[in-house]
Amino acid sequence: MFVASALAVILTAGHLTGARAGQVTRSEYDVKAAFVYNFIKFVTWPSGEESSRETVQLCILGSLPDTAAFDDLDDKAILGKKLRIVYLKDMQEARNCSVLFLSSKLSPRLPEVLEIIRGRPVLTIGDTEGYGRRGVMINMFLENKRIRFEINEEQARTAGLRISVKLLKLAGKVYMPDVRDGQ
Amino acid sequence: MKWRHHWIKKAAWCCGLIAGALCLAAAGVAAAATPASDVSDLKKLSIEELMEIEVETVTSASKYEQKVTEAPSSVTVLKAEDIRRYGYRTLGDILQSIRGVSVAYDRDFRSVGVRGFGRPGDFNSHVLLMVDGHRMNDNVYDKAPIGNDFILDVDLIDRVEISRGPSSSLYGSNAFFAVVNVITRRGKDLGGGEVSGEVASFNTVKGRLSYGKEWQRAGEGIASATGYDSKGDRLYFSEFDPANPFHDPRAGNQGIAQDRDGERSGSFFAKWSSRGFTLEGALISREKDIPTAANGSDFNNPGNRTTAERSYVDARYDSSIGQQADVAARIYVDSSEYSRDDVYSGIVNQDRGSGTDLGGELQLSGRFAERHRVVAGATYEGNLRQDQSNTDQIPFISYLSDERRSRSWAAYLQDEVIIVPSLVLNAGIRYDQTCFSGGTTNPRIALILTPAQGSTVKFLYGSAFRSPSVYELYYRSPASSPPVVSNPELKPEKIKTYETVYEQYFASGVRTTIDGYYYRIDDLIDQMMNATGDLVFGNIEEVEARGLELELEKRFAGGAEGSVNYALQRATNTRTGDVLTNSPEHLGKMKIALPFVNDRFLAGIEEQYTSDRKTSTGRYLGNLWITNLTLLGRNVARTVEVSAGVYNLFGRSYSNPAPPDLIPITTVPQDGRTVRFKVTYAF
Repeated sequence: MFVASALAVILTAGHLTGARAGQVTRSEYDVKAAFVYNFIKFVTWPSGEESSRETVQLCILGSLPDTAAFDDLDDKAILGKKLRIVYLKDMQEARNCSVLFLSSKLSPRLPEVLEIIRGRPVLTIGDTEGYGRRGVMINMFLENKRIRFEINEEQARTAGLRISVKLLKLAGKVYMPDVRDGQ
Repeated sequence: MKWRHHWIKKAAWCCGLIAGALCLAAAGVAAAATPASDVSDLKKLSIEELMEIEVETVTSASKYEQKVTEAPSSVTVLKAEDIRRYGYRTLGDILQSIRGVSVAYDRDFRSVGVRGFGRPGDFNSHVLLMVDGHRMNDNVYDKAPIGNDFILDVDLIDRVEISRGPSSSLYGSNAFFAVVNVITRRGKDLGGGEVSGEVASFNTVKGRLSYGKEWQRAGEGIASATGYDSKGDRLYFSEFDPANPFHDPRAGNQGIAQDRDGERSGSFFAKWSSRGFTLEGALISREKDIPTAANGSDFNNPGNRTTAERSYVDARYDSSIGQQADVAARIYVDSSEYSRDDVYSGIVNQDRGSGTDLGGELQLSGRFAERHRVVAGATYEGNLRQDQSNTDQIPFISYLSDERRSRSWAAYLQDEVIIVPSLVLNAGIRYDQTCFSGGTTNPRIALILTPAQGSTVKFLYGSAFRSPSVYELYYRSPASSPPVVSNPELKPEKIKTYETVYEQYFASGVRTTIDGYYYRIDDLIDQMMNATGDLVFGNIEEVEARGLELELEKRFAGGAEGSVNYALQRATNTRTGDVLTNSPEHLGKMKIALPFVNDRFLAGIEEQYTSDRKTSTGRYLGNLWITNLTLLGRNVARTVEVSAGVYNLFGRSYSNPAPPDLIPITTVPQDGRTVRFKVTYAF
């Protein structure tokens, strides 16, 4: 049947094209996960309870369309520690995270979550429009099919986190205490 | 025996589908081994390098168009990339590739069939068609053109969002089976000029010139013009062949309509936006020669043609208010002009419909009490002109000169409530005060569950309506045989739909959807013969339908993509107990995009299956498999793109059931194998 032969073509082609290098477009969440991995490297946590831990807990709150790339990050080395991916069932658990990725599904409950982690050194990351101005520290967005990000420096400072100047320079937009919009 | 043959075909198709699903799943498992290394190589890149990578988005995140993506229903998004890969020539080609949708062509108008409902002669009035949120169904016939009469060149499309199910709770009339929102490309996406030329079968040529740019302080803009000319096919109609013992009295020229299928159109589009404000305008003029001797007109006469003009200007503004709310406002003016020339014994009879309308919409959305996301809006539309006329040209005799003006308004409210993080309730309602048929209220309720990562289950109930068009209400033709009389008492058609959707994402790029629905249409408008022998439109029909749709999509690591879908649908007229005409029980589609030579070339293959369709005579048209193949090539600098496509690759000859105005023709022959060669240059 034509269908079967065509599908055989997909199968073989899938293998052929899978191993190539230098492809032009990548899956959205593969790239976002790589960004998150990089963001962590540019942030300094305050000395104390956080830095004495052996793992960097990267928690994900809310469902994501594609979790494979994040799953891949589990057990990877970062900042001399191991990265642990945790899918939170309960908002309250967010207090124990080093990094908290908030999905767009969380949007209506964002203020609640931010309240739970207030004062704690939790790096919040998102990829939903408006998250930056609403208090998420690093928020990714798409511009012309490429990923950019905005940083809410005020939120990070209040939580005791220090974001490297290099990252601030690369950010599309930075929210600082006296500036409402833009740099 | 037909029953056994039918069963075997069903079983074979089911096996093919299961085999397909297994293949894709196996490929998914096999390919899942590679993504691990894919992300590893990404992790080695610096932030600057990551910022250079182009991504393929899984979710569609838009601003004003949020309405559609928030709509709790099964949404399919087709991107500009898909349009180029699979060589879609018109919006009709795009819709034909969508799960559960079929497109029929009567040699003038392309009509879409959704969920088993595809009445020949329906003007696509049961689907709401929009361009950037601007309603395209006209205010005289409710027509939504999807062929070369569609206002936009497909190259200007950024994406098409098809939202299934009843959406009158947000959009009002026509959002019966689906809402199709065509979103245009942005100036910044073009980044300069673009010129494109194509040649295709039947002496067809098409040319386009576009320019788009983003400026530092002056926002972004895009402007484009397209011209299209086709000589059309030479067609044979046995009903008009004198050699046929049962030929129609108008038979001649051995049943051949030569040079009577031509089509010409010119269109223009421009859009400018800056800081939340967008101004957009478009216009099209299209002429089609009619080879089918419709409405009893002379066969093979060059004077049989339709002309359509459509234009609009739309201005909208959207902005945030504080941290928790957004406001969006829109005003527009729209004009449409349609005329149909039918030649009777050398005398040209012209049917015309002219419409002009002016309207606006205001929408507020905001978050409250952390759990609620509320959208509230109001629309107003003033129809300055909804005129119809029917005249003989020489000598001039006026049979109909009907002029109407009307207004309609509507208010809607929708609340999305997070009951618990994995359970969302979305409830909406809209009240429409229609132009001529009173008021109607339409609710929609959806329960959306996300029980686990990557799983979504939706339970949906909604009602939708379609206001009778000015044509159905007021058109009359007392001098025809039989006479056509008007019916100002027509009520809106109503549909109630119950639907369950299950979506599941698997490891790396596999997505499956199962969609089951039941609907019931009441007061469906159809033309009937009354007691005095006149033809009149009435709310006379009732339809009931059930369907199940399955879809599997897979994105491969190297850019290859494939999807396979199947729809089982059964729609019957509950008054007569008959299956509807042009309602295939099975629809299957498959498409694969395979990049090769380092992404410079791409092959797009499509396979579409449609099962038997009933015609108005009760006779069935056989099932068909249509194959389309497109090869796309780009140069290294990505400034030149060449596309070569073959449609209906195996040259299958087939027909579509004809609308009633084509009698004695009951089946309309469709194109055999056609080719298209296209070059686009960006400068």
